[in-house]
Amino acid sequence: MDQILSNLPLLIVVVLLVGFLVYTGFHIGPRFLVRRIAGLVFVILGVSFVTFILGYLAPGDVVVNQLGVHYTVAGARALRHLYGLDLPWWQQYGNYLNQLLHFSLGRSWLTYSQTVWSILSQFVPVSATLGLSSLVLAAILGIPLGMLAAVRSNTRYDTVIQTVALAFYALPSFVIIPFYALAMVWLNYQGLPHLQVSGWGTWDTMLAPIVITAINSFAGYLRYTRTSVIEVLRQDYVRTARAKGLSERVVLWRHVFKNALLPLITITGPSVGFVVTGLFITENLFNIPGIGQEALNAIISRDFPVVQGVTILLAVTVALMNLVTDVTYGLVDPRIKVA
Amino acid sequence: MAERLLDVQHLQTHFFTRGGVVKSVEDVSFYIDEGETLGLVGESGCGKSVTSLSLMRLIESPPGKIVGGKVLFQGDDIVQMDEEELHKLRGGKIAMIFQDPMTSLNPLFSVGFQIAEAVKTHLKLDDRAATDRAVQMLDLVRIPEARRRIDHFPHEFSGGMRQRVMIAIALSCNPKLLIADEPTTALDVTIQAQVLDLMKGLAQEFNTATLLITHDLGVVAGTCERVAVMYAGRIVETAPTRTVFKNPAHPYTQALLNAVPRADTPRGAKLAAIGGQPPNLVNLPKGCPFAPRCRKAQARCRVELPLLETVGPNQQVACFYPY
Amino acid sequence: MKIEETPDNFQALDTVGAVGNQPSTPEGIAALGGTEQQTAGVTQAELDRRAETETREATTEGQSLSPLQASMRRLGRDRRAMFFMALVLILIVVSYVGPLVWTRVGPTILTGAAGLDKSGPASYHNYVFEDLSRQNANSSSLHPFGTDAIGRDILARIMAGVNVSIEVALLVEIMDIGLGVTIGTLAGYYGGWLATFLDRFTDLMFAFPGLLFAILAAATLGPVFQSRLGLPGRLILVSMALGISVWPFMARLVRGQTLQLREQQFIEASRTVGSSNRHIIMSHIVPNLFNIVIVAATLDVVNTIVSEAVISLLGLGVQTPGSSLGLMINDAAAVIAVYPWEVVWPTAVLAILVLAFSFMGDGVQDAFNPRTKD
Repeated sequence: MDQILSNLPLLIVVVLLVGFLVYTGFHIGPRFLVRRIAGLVFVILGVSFVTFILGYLAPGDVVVNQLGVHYTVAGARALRHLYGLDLPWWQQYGNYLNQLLHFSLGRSWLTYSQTVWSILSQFVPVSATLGLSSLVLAAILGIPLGMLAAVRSNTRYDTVIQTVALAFYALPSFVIIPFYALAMVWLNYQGLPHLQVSGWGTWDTMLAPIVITAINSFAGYLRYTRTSVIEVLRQDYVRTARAKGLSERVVLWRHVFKNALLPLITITGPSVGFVVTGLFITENLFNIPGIGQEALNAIISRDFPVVQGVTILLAVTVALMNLVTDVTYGLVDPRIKVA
Repeated sequence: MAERLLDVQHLQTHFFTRGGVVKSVEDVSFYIDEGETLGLVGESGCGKSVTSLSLMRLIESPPGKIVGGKVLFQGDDIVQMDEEELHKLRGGKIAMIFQDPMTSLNPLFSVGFQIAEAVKTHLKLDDRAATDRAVQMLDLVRIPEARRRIDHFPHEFSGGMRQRVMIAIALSCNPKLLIADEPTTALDVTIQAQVLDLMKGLAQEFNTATLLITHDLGVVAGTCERVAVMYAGRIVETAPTRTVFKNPAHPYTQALLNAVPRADTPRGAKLAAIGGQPPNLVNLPKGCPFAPRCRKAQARCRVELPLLETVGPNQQVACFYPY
Repeated sequence: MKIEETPDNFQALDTVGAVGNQPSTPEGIAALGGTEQQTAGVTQAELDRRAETETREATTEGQSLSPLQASMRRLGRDRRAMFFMALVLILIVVSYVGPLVWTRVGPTILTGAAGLDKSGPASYHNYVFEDLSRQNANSSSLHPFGTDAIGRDILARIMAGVNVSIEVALLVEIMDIGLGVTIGTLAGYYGGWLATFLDRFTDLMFAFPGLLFAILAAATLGPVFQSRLGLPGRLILVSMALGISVWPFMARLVRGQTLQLREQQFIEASRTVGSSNRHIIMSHIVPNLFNIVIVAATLDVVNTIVSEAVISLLGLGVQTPGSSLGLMINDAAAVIAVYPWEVVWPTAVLAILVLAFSFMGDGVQDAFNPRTKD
């Protein structure tokens, strides 16, 4: 618990979140909220169980690996006892859940002096910056362009936007990164101004990863907005709005946009999940010290408490985002209250 | 003769699709005088709705386009109007009610807002006055507790009530003409009569002319002063309601009337259905479009197109062999 | 952001909309003197619209078409989709037939670290053959795409890599469609605990991104699979992990469709004449799922190919001497500034593969599900 208290920004986020949920809980109805929170608990149980089982089934003995040349039978036994590995699997899992109840993720096996929390808190800010900025960038560029494509649907304009968007949507970032890196190497070689291809912390290292991570989501937002706007444009109430004599601008921004936004809200949650997995690639190829890199290192060095910590953290983040988007949906759409 | 409120002359609206040009409206002419109620009757797909949308220039374009004719409203041709004039016309001078009240209101805005929106646009009222007007309109369409209900959202109203809200929106700016496109088709029978009565009463109160589009002759009988019957994109007969029911001239009108059950129809008697299908609007047959389904069709009907001609007092018909 | 699924509240909205279309009673309309047949559950506007589209479709072809034929025809007319479909086919054919040809083309040369071993194309155009006298070689007639750090022919490795992408995609789609359709139909038709389980499972997968799960599984279980099954073990593991993570979305999609179908009148009709549930599911529901399943599956292939590449790129998928496009990028990423072709070729082929499948999928979606697009 004191680990949480020591992390003020996190605390603020948690308080804001809880406040938001309680507020909307009154607005939409507590049953909805209770059900969703039960779902959240289920997600945590499921994710921790899957990671636990995978770790349990994994071949190789962590203890033997860790001791290496210092291996002695007694030493191994002591270490196993320390990690709780001498217990049957259900007891190991039970202990882990017990820890979770106390908001503890345990200690790293690799560096036992450090708690998983403290390790994560080094890496989370980097990944959060990268993920959030690219998501925001994607949304503020993708949504207006998607509306434009929808309003001009079936013109040459739209066809071009559509094709580019589909290409961007399909191309994974690791296909783009090598070409970007080559371009920068070439610029460097020519003595021209260029950006960095590795590292994190200054604007010239941060720009490219953010933009490249944003590309997929940008195209996703664009395509979703377009489909959604086209769908709304053919609704009867849009015709009603036009029949009232409203100007096309008012029809579009007041009557169409708000309705078209609803499905967009719902994809924001899952898109967070997608950005999260995208981090693994971007961080790996750009050599960024973020959560994805850390998770990968932990996976490879079999530091399971850290692996578990990362997966639970990511899953809870995504699940919370899903929850928040659902609740936002409920706030925007008056029909949800009754439904 | 005084100027007509609305005078539609040889209106043509086509849809340009990959499968060919769909001639949804092909030569439609009719007029409406101030305060009058005209019923536009026909089977589905005969171009009634397209006609009504053309009057408001609300045809989706592409693929739709008004390719010919004039729509004179108080002497001005709507077909030639620019966007700005259209915005003043729509909702302000001509208002429209659509068929499906369940989908015609924006689900995300309160009904009060949706009424006030129209009022603010055309009557230039401030928020407060517009809200008052909205309450007043809801009251007029007999929605109880109007003051409280204006903050409710469409999903909190029943189908009949939503259609009344639509009427409230339509009449809120004192339009000269109300176009009602199948306003009661999607409603329960018991509600249908209520909504029609309400619409008729309010139209009289506001001195608003009405174009009532329907496939239902029963609705026409109780509501309209004159009737225009449409078939395959053309008006085939127009006459005062009484004349149409007593002395229909066009075989299609006769067939429509025979298909309606009446109180004096003997129990167990079969209604006369109209055999065959309405024609394909892409490749209209030469001659009278109704000829393939017409019992009285002669050789001439299959080669030559009959035009509207006066056959009686105020009665016009497009048929070589009327009655 | 690749989401094939409409989240829950979306469906809730659909239901709200559907209620809006509830019909007035058909008897009612007849009583007032309706002049035309009213199909229950259909509003006038809908009838008009249907009549209009039917006229259009019928006139387009001059003959009536089954929905499947109509979809195929629409697809056939979509030039872009056809182009990319052809590209996909070419890629597949070349990647499988290519190696057979490639290992027979070329002179006998001297290979090996000392340059003393005689080898024919069967060796040096094989994707596992290491020619230590030609490391990091630039493009030549012998190795048109050059060689990698240990002198393997990049063209041969790319063809082998495409094979891997296709095989993983195939395995994953089999799992996806098999599990997704079975469970989705059952959950949609019967509801109950299966539906609840499915909901919880999809919630879980929503929060626990499939790729993360696959990475984790590949990393922890990879060595076991490799030691038991040899080199293909990793490939099977990756496919299984991806398959497990994608089917819930397919199942949700199928369930949604089944729920709608179940309420349709022809199912009702079938039930009144005493058809068994089994018969209804097999002959009325499953055939009607074809469209959404084919669309979802085609689009999903892209995700699968990308995911496999990611896992290999992280060094957790196919292991050397096996080949995979992701693995090739991973192997050469560090030396991109010096030997750019070692990264560029596999990356370019991967890009083409992914784009070809996406554009094809987009076309399939338009053709089989015309409402999604104008």
